[in-house]
Amino acid sequence: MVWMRKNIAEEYLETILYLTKGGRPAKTKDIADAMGIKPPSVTEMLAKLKDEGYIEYQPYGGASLTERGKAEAIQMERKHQVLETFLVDALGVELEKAHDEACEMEHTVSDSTLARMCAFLGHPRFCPDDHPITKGECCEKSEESMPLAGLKEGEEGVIKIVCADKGTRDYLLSLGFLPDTALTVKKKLPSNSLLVRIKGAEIAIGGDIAEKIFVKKAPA
Amino acid sequence: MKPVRVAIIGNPTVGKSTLFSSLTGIGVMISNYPGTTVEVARGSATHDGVTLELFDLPGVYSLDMTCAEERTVLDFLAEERPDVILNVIDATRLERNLYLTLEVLELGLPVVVALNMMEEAHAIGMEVDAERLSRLLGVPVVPIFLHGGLGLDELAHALFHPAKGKRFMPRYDRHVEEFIRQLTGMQMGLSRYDAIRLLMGAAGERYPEGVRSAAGLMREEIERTHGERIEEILASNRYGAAGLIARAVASQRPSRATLRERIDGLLMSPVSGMAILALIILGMLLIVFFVGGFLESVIVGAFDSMIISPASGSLVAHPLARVIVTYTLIGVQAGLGIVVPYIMTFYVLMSLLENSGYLTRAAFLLDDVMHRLRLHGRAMIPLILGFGCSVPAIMSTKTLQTRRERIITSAMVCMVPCSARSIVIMGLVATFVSVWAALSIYLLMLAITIMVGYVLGRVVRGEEMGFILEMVPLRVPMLKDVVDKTWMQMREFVYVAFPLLIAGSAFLGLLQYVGVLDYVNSLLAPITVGLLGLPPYAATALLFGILRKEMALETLAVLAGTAQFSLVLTPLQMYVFAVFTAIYMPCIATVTMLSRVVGVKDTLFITCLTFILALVISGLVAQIVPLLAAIL
Repeated sequence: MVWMRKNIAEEYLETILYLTKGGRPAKTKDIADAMGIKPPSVTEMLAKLKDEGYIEYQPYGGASLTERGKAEAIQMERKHQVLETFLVDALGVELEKAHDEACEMEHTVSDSTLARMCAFLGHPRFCPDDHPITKGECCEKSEESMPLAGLKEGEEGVIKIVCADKGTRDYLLSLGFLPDTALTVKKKLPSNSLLVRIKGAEIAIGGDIAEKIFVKKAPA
Repeated sequence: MKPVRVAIIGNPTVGKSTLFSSLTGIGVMISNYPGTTVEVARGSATHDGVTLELFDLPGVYSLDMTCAEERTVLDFLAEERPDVILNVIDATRLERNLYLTLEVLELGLPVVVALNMMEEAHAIGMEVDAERLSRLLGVPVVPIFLHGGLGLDELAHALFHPAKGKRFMPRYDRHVEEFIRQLTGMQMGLSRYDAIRLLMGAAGERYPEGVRSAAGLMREEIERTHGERIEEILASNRYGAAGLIARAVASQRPSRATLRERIDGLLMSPVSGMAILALIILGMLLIVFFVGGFLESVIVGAFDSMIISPASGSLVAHPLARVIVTYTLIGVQAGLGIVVPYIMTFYVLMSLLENSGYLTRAAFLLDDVMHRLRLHGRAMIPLILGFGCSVPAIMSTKTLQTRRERIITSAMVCMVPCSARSIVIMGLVATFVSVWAALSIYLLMLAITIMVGYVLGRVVRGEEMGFILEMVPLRVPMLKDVVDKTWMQMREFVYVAFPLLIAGSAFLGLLQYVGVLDYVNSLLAPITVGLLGLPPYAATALLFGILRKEMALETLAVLAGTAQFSLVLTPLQMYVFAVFTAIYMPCIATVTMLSRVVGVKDTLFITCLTFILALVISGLVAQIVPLLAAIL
C-alpha cells in the first residue's frame, strides 16, 4: 500500500503546483474540486504533506509548495508531459486519452525509461497542448549538441544522433546522415527548411526533420 | 544466342533513364511491377549480333528495403535473376553513389559500373580516374560522356564480358565479420550476402527458422556491445569504404564560385526564389493556355470540317452506323484535342523544368506552404499542372513518395479548374453573366481545392514521410531527353486513355440513338430541374461533359438550339451549370488516369466525392440565391 499513498501524494503536489501557478496559495476547496475529492479528506492529506515538509499550509489560508515539494511536483509534471508527448507524437494516441493514461503512468515510470523516451522524442521543449516542458538531466546533457535546425546558413556541424522514426532514420542513413559525419548548411528558409551538403551531395530537409537531427557545431 | 539480361541500378537522377534510352532507342515498354506503382522500363539493344535486354529499375539510395522502390529492386533481382547488373553512378556525387555500388557488389551477381556525368564533373573541376576505380572495385568501370555520346560502345562490350576477377567487398566491424564467418560456415550454403541480410533482420522466409533466430541473437549481441543499431554500424562501415575509394580516385581543383552556383543561390533564396517561381508558374500557365488553346482549336476545327462532317454526311442513309461512326470520331477528336495541345505542350515545359533540376528547387521552396496540408513540397507540381489539364497532372503524382500523398494530391487536382473547365466558365458565365461572376467560380474552386486538401490531409491515413529530397545539380537539359520524355507521356496517354475515350463516346452515341437519353433526362429531372433549377436537357449535356468537360457546353448549345445562351437560360441557371460542370466527376480521360495511379477503389471514392460536392454546392447556389434575391 505504500506506493498507493505515494501515488496520491504525488497527485496532490502536482495539483497544488498547477493551482499555485498564479502566485496565490491553493484553496482547499479548489484542490478538492480539481481532484474530485471531498474537502475534509483534502484537509487531512494536506496536514500530512505539511508534516513531511512538502508544503506550507494554513487552514483557511490555503497551501503552497516548499522548495522540496516544488522540485518533486515539477519532476512529476515533467514525467506527465513527456509521457503525454510520447503517447501523442510517437504513438498517435488521442490527446484526451493520452492525458488520462499519462496520469496513471507517471507514477510508475522509472527515471531511466523516461530519459530514454525524452531522448527518443529529441528532448521536446513543448508538450502536445503547448505547455513548456521542464528540462531534465538528459536534456541538459544533450544541450552540448543542438538540432540541425539551429545552425545558420553557411555554418558547419558534425552529426551526433538522429532521433526520427525508423523509416526516416533508415532513409537518412542511406543518404549518409551518420553519427560523426560532417555537413554544411547551404541554404536556410524562414520556415527552417534546410539545404545541407553532405557526402558530396545536396539534400533538402524539412524543418520538422531538421529538429530531430542533432549536431555539434563546428568552430567557424 | 540467348539475350543477355541487364538490370540497371543507380541513385535517382544520375541519368539512368537517359543512358537507358541512349542504349535502347525509343522502343521501350513501361510496365508496373506487379502490386506496385513502381515502374520498370524494358528495352533491348543489339550489339555485334547479340541482344541485350535492359531493365531500367527505379532509382534507390540503398538496398536495405526501407521504401517501396528498394523492395521492388530486390524483388526484381530475386525473381528475374538478371545476368549482369549495370550500376550507373554520378561522377559529381561519387562518395554517395559508391555507397550503393558497394551494396550492389555484395549481391554477388556480375557487375559493370557506368561512370556517368563525366562532362559535368569536368565542368566543376573534378577529375575521376576510371581505370583506378575499376582496379579498386574489381569490376569494369566505363566512363560515359552522354552529351558527346562517348562510352556507349565500350559499355555494351563490357556488359557482354563482365570480368569475373576478385571484387572489392566492404569490410565490416570485427564483431560483425566474425558473425558473418560463423553464419557462412554453418554448412547451409549461406553466402556472405545472405549472412548480412540475416544479421540485419531483413531476410524473409527464405531462410530456415533456426538460422534466423541464431542471426537474431547475434544481432542483439552486436547492438548491445556497440550501443548502436546494426544498420548504423554497417552503413558507417560502407560509407567509410566509399569515402576512401572516392578520395583515392577523384581529385578536385579548387574552383571559384561559378556562374552555376550563383544562379542556384538566386533560385533558392526566399525572396528572389519565390519571385522566379511565381514567374515560371505564371509563364507555364500562359503558354499552355494560349499555345494549347490555339492548337486545340486548330485540331478540333480541322477534324470537324475534314473528317467528322464528311463522314456523317456520307452515312445519312444508315442512321445507326452514322451515329456510331460520328461518336467514335468525336472520341478520337476529344483525345487528339487533349493529347497534342495540352499534354505535349505541358510535357515539353515540364521536362525542361525537371531535367534542368529546377523542380527539386521549387519543391524545396514550397515545402512550407504544402506542409500545412500535411503534404510535401513536391505535391505542388501536380496542382500547378492541373490548371492546364488534369491528365498529365495526375500522371505526375506518380513521382510522389507515399500512396497517401498520391491520393490526396490527385483528389485536389480533380478540383483545380483545368483549361476545359475554363472554357465552360468563360464561354458561359464570363460571356453571358459577368467577368466577376466567372472570377467568383475560380475563387470557389480554389477554396474547394484547399478544403479538400485540408480535410483529406487529416482523414487519409497512411505513411507520412517528412520532407527529404536530394537536389538535382543544375544542368542544361538535353533536347533528346525532353523529346523522349514528352513522347513517353503522350504514348502512355494514347495507349491507356484513348481506347476508353473512343469506346465511351461510341456508347453514348448508341444510347442517344436508341432514345435512352430522353429517358435519362426524365430520370434525372428531380436533380437537374428540381434541385438545380436547370432545363431537363441539361442532364444530357452534363452526361456528355464526362467525355470532355467543354463538351458539356457544346452539347448544351446543340440541345438548346442556340449558342446565344442568354436567350434560353437565366444568369442563375448559367452560373449553376458552370459550377456543377466545374466540380462534378473528372472527365473520362482523367478517371482512366486516376485508376492507373491510385487504383480503382480510390478512383471511385474521388469520383463520388466530386459528385457529392457538385450536388451540394451548386444545389445550395440554386436554392439560396433566389431566396436572397427575394429578401433583398
